[in-house]
Amino acid sequence: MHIPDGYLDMKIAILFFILSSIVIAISLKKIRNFNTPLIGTISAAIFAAQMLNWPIPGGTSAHFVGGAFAGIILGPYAGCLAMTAVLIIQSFVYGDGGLISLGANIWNMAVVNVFSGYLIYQVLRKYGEKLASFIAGWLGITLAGISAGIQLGVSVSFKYALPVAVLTMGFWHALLGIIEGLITSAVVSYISAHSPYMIKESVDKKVVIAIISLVILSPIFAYSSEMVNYSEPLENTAKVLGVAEMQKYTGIFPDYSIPGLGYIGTVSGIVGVLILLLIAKALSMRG
Amino acid sequence: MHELIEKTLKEASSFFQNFLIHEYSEKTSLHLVDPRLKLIGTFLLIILAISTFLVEKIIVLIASSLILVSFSKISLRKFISRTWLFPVFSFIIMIPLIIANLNNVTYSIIFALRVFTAISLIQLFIMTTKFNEIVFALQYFRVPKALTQMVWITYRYIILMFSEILRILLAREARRIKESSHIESIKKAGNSLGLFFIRTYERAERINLAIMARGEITFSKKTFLRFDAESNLKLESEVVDGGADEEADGVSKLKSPYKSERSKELEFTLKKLDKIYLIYIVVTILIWVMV
Amino acid sequence: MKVIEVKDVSYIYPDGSIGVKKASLDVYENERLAILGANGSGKSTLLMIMAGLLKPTRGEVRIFGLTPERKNLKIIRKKVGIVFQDPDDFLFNPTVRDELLHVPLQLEWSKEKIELRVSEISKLFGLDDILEKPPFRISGGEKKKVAIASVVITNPDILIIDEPTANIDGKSRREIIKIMKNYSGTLIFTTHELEIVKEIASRVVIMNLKKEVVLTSLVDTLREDFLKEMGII
Repeated sequence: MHIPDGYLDMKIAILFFILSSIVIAISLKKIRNFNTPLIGTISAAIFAAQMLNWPIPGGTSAHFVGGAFAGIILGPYAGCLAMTAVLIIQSFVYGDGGLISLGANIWNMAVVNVFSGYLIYQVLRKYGEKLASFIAGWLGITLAGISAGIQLGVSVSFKYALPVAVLTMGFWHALLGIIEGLITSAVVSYISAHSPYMIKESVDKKVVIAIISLVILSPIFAYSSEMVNYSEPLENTAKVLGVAEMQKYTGIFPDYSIPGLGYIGTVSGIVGVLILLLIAKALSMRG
Repeated sequence: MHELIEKTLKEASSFFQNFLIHEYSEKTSLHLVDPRLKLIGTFLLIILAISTFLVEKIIVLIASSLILVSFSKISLRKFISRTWLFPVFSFIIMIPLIIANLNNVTYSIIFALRVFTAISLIQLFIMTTKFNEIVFALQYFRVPKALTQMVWITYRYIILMFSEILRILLAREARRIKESSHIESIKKAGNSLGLFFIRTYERAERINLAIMARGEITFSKKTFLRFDAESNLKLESEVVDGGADEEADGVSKLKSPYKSERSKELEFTLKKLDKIYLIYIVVTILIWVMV
Repeated sequence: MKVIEVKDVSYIYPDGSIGVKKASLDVYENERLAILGANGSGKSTLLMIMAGLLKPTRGEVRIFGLTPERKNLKIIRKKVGIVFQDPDDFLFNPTVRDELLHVPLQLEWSKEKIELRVSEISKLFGLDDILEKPPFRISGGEKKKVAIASVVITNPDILIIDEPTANIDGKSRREIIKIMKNYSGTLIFTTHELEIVKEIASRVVIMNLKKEVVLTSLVDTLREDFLKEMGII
């Protein structure tokens, strides 16, 4: 589910960078009395568990993601940070998932997956540990997939229409999510039987609800951010109707590169040079 | 469960090769450029790559990163082997669009090229920057310290955790005689994972105590760049002087003026490298804007 | 002079299990104290308490007359160095060199002093070849040596080592024993090996499986049949 760079529009990538940063900041604030080595060690363990290659009928295999699990064991805030640490390493050590799209990847796997998994588990817990953790694992990953589908779908650079992207990603993750659910359920039920003190009790509901509503609203943010900077209302409607492909291309993407993206690109190029010079200046002053 | 272990092991070796790429790749001048500059440079070039669909502009960036590859003596084969997969995948998922409308061929190719450019830039950064340098750069750019500490601890313990998981799974496998169904073996392996997480929790407590006993981990330029480069230089000077550097312990004090001259020289070289890198990135950006 | 006083100390872990039960003992300046006991008798926990890392649930511990409260911790940490049983818990820096620099950098030593001391220590422990390696990529014996070296580098007044020679090959073992023998300050360690006790320790403390301190005695008067009875050897 790691989205590489080049799939998302800049606007979308930046938007989710900001949204993820907000949630990370809240989480850091909330876990002040939690120890960071504990979260770091557990996230190393989740990373290692992700490396396991689970065989599934039909010859292929699946990987455990562990977002819902992190939420259940560490609570939503520490769980979010643990998954963030995992994702940062994946993009800076393996190049799994891009740098610019890191915000979006954190949003899907460290926010949507962790918070929804945590909430589902807490709500369903009264119906039994096993069931609650299965659904948390399964639905958590499915929602994360849908979230990725939305990000891809609203991006103009990724040409598939929103419904196609969401349905594909959602369906695929709902299928793979069964394994995720089974593993989550087995792990959580083992831990709750053998060392129940590890499982985090419920936390301040208001903040969780605020973050969940941020999650629910995020597609609208994404959609509206795409609307900004659109010069051609006609093209806009065409996109909504899914008939954007009907236009003829004389050159290579003249429609996109000149009025919209190209302009932004040039500006960002110039801004980039300026930033670079400023940083170089600052570095040379510090020695 | 047998299959789980086998498959995991098969993938793990390439995984760890990635993890330890610095031990496999030789030191080059690009390694010595300040990681903060490299991070920003990489970031900017990726932004340029993904904010255009003009093929000329993308080619400028690809050429730029390939020139860096050849200058930094990274083997081109290794580089391509680390970058080809994603772009090809990106092209393949666009095939339905091409089937629907042949005009989408150019779009699909450019889309894949954009992905290739971004991946190349990231890989170039990763292959020439150690992870502790990256953490240092992140910390410098105001990523909260609590988060960078966490990221470092995660990185440091991944290999240990992986071998622990494997030991637990192997122990179970060693005493398994009956064949079990898919779901059953997922359950059993899941229980093993549960045990693994309980042990991890206990270890985490000990690590926390160790950090309490010894103080927090800090990432400063002092602790890596200088020493790294210095030992590199020392190696060079040893080759030049024919290893005549062997002296008794007490003499090391007397040598210190020579050493400080050495490190001044080194600082100068480092600054020069930083400048060259900077100019290179600026020139790339300017060409990109003008094309 | 007493450097550590442990009075009626009990420690209970968060999960309710007992770590140490009503332990009392004194440690004197420059003595070599060995703590013996079967696996699970609470030796490691006692060491953590004596280093001021774990606060006793009941009872009192004084290290150089100071209780392990927040305001005293800085002094205690400077004077007491502890090496954990599992070096993997203990070594978390990017390279072996960083491990050695970890504490000196916090003490803000001068550059010359740090360089001199690092080269001294790495020669003493034979770490020259692995200085630039990450500590999770070296052998078990090397890890242990690095862990001890990273504490010994600042010459703490009290050196506490948990199982210095467990799971270690003969060569590293001899080197570690030599370093412990030559250490000039107060030394506290746990072990299961009687030879090492006889070679290094001046006094022993014995713990039983109820996590109690049952006996302190001079090494010369230690009876082997008692140790066998306790399940220690």
